[in-house]
Amino acid sequence: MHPDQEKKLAQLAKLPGVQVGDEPAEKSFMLSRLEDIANWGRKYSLWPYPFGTACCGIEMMAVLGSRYDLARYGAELVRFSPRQADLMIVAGTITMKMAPVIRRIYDQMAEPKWVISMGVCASSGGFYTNYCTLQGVDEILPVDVYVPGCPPHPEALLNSVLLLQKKIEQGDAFERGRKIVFEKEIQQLVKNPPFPGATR
Amino acid sequence: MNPTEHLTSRLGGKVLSAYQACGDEFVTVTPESFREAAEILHRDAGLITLSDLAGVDGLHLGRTPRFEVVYYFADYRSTPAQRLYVKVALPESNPHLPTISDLFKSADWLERECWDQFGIVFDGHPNLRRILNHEDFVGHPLRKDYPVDGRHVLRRASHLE
Repeated sequence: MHPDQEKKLAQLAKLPGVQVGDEPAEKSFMLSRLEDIANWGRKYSLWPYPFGTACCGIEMMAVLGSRYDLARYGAELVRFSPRQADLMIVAGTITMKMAPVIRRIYDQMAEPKWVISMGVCASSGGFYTNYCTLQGVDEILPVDVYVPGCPPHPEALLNSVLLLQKKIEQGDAFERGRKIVFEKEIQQLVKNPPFPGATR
Repeated sequence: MNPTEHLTSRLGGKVLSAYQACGDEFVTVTPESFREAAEILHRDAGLITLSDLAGVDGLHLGRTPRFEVVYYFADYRSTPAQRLYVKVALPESNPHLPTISDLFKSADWLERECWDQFGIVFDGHPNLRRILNHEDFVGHPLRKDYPVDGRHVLRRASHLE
């Protein structure tokens, strides 16, 4: 039993008329932390916002369809309005021209919110090392899970949702306004790269 | 008369060359006579469609003059369709051509794209601004001397205001 639960039970046992450990009492209530309940609810009711811009978008549709069936994990309710979604799936190449748009949409999503970067284009720019492609959506958004592949197999996206569920389960449910740009840390890394060629 | 004969008979020496390749007809004209050539094709030769317009940078091909603009005129009303490529060579410094967006509606966006990617100015274009790259972009990325990873950050997008 969790120490908090033992403490609570001990407090309850002091109350007049309460007997903890009796059969009726055990059946009448359950103790948990509010965070755990909130996280449990959140991880099984992710509402994705599909940001499909390329072939990864097609694979994402396959995941949402009946064969791979993301609905089994409670994330089937795709919302096309950022106000109603809490999981942004960035599936595809993001251009520099698109960057302010995707950032605006992310800002319009209500907290708590998570981001899955699907495929190499969204994660690092992929093979588009050119004049117009954003070299990874993590330059403008805080990404929770990266999915490798070009495009990733549908199982890979399913796995990323499961990973995200684990992350949500362990996370602090009442944390708000996540730190988005680690400016000092990035500047430190630019000054002292951890290994040669580490910076772009 | 086919479109090539229209041009050679009307423009004379301003048609630098006319040849056939891969089943298509090609005509090279001087930049000064291009506007007149486009008017002849549109009005007299019946090529009322501009299917495509492409810029070419011949830097690594060692071309002088460096740039070239290739127009692809067509008439899809006849069977088989009539087609004609018109090529115009342009110098490296201040490459510019008269617009034909008043004759061919499709030239509007095509000329904007050619200016955006190659920096070829189309004189008289009603709205010559970037069409593919964003508004904070500097330079013309399809020029061969443009760095391949020369990215520019778009900080404010006017279409979001």
